[in-house]
Order: sequence, then C-alpha cells, then structure tokens
Amino acid sequence: MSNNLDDSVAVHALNALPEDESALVSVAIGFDDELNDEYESFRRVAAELVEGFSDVVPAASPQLWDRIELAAGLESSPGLPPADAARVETPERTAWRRLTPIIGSVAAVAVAISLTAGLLANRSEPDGLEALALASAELPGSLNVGLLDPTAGTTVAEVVVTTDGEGFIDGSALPTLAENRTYQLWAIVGDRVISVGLMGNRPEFTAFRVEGQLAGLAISEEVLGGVVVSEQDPVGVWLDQA
Amino acid sequence: MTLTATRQIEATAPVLTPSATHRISESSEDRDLWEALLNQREEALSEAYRRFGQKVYRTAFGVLRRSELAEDVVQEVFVRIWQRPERFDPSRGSFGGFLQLDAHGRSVDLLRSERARADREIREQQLSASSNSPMSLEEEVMKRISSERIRDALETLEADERLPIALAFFQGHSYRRVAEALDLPEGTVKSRIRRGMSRLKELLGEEALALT
Repeated sequence: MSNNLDDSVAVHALNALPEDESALVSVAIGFDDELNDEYESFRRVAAELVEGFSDVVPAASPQLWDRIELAAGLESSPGLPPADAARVETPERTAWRRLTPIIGSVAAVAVAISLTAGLLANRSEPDGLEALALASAELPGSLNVGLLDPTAGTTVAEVVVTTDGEGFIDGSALPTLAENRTYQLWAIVGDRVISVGLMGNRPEFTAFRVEGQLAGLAISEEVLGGVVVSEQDPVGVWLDQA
Repeated sequence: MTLTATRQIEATAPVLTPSATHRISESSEDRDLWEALLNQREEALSEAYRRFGQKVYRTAFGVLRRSELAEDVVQEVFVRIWQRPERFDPSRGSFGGFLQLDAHGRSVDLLRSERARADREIREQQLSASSNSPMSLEEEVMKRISSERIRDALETLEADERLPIALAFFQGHSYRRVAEALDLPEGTVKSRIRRGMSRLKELLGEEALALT
C-alpha cells in the first residue's frame, strides 16, 4: 500500500482500491476525523461523477421490484405516495379508494398472511394455456368466477384460480385500449388490495399467481405502466360473498 | 403440472421515473423519505425505488454492462438501505447520490469478483489491447460518459489526471490495473487521481455555489 494515505483516500472514494487496501484505508478513516472529512469530500465528487453514466441502458425487468420486496421481507403492498407522517393512510384504503365503497366496509384487520404476487416466467401457445385453465378449473377447490362490470352487470373476464394460487384470466371480452393504456389486475386478500400485474391494452388468456385467502378480484384501466394507487372505477369486479 | 403463460402479466412495479438531480444538499422530501425508512415504513422503500431505482440501475449497468448483474446490484442496494438506513448520513450529501455510489461500489466489487471473471478477462484484454495508445484509451472511456456536464468537468483536468480517474471510475478498474495499463508506477497513478479529484472538488463545488 502506498505510504501516502491521502492519495489512497482519494482513490478509495472512487471505489478503486483493491480489497486489501480498501479495508486498511477504511480503518484509518474511521480513526482520523480529518482523513474522514477528506474522504467524504471526495465522495461528494464521486456522487457528481456517477451522474456521468449513460442514460441509454436496457430497461430493468418489471419483476425487479417484486424481487426487492421479497428480499427485504416486506408484506406485499401496492405502495403508497411519498412518505408523510400526516398523510399516510393504511394500505388497504389507499391502494384503491374507488374499490372500497363497492366492496363495502373492509375491516381494518392486521394482515397476518404474508402475500406474494408473482409471475409465471414461461410462455406457451394460447391453446395450451386455455387447456391448462380448463383443466385447472376441474381441480378440487379451484375458483372459477366471472368478473362483472359493476354498472352493466355483464361478465367482462373469467378467472380460474387453483388452491395453489395459480391463476388464469380470460380478458378477451374487454375492449381494446389505446396503446398508452393498460388493464391492471388487482387481488383482494384479507383486507388488503394488491396489484397482481398488468394485462396490457388488449388482454387475452393470461396466467398469474397470487397467494393468500382470495376475497376478491378487480380490473381497472390505467396508464401504461400501471399505478401503485388506483383512482379509477374498476371495470370488472368479483367479490367472495361467502 | 407445469403452468405456462401465453404472455406474462407484467408485475406492477413503482413507476421508475427519473428523479431530479440535486447537486445541492438533499431536499426535504428526501430527508422525509430517509426518516420513513429509519422508522421501517414499508411504503418508504417503494417510494425510494420509484425515485431512485432508475438512476441506481443506470449506475450499476454503466459499470457492469449486463442487465442481470445490474439488477442484482439494484436489489442489493435497496435491500441494504431497508435493512440499514442508518448507513446514510444526510449531512454528507444527497440520498440519491448515496444510493448511486453504493451501487457503484457494489458493481465494482462484482466486476472484480469470480462471478464476473469472464467479463473482466475480456475487459482486461480490451484494456491491454487499447493501451498501446493512451489517447485511444481515453477516447474509449470518455465516449461512455453521456453527461455533457461531467465530460466538461473532466475536460478541465490535465490528461494525466483525467485518464486514470476515468478508467478507475467509469470502467471499474483498480488503480493497480490502471497503473499497469498506463505503464506507470502505482504511486504515480494514485497521486494523479488525488490531484484530479481535488480539482474536480473545486470545480463542482463552485458550480454548486453558483446554483444557490
């Protein structure tokens, strides 16, 4: 290691020290306030330089947030507006303000179930998927329901969910949306409303996964990319009346 | 029974919108967010991801040049800030800058680790191959810096300060590898990096003052 610790501190701020030197410099910084101040000043420079990385990068996968949630051990949450102690409401109320009046009062019970909403990564031909959905509908305990237009009362989508939480939704009866819009599928589990995922602007037969005791399903129309908090009236709803 | 899907329902993620660049100390909103993380409010993590996820990912990808590795780093950065939010000190800079630097550090570690060995070997070969000419090395690394502001800042440095900094930071090389590539003593590379960083500190510090 260089005898010049000051030089090493600057290099360390750029993450350019090898591991052995990095550890030693970190210890030195911890014991010397002046050295620490110097290091922090160079880190601020590095924080500016980091803005130099290219803007043009491939998009991160949509599942990345799910991975972070799982790894952090969070209960699935639709996410909320920026944290504000005065304004934050309970997740089940903010996730879907429009849905609550429709489903009636939702008991604000602490959710004991750890919920995970995920994706099936594989693809198949439409016929195969439909066949799987039909087969799944025959399995003992499977849920086989239609989501109704709350206003017209007509069936807008049909859903099959097995006891393992594997689900299929046929959204082909939904009208096609503009390219900058999408349908979003929501699940009501206990007293929580969570986003299962996006169905696209022209949904067909699609698979999904949801865990927990399903109390309802709903579809909303949203901007492309979906939302963490829906302000829209649902276009299709099913509620477990049991 | 294996279940497959015609088309994935994309998982809803908080929308990744670029957050504003705060070159002055962090905004009160960032501080509120950090404090919410300290209080272990789950919605704060999704908000942090919404605000900074794209920048963190861009930083990681900038170093690693591979989406899957960059995503691993993003995951690690946000899980770490959730588990140990006290690592951030608001008196030392912006929250977004902290997350990006954390991503940079992890990306560099990953780059040098066994997992990225294959990529690193390719990079080493490229570094060696192009090191016949420091000018071509500089051109190669500078074109990866998309920000005009950062490029301009680096252009104010002497060439012998600029290149080691650019190679170390934007390509994730240790100063030892930089010394090897430039055929310079390791101590010389270190001191040039420090000199260049000191100049950048003055320049960027002046810019920050100009914004106030």
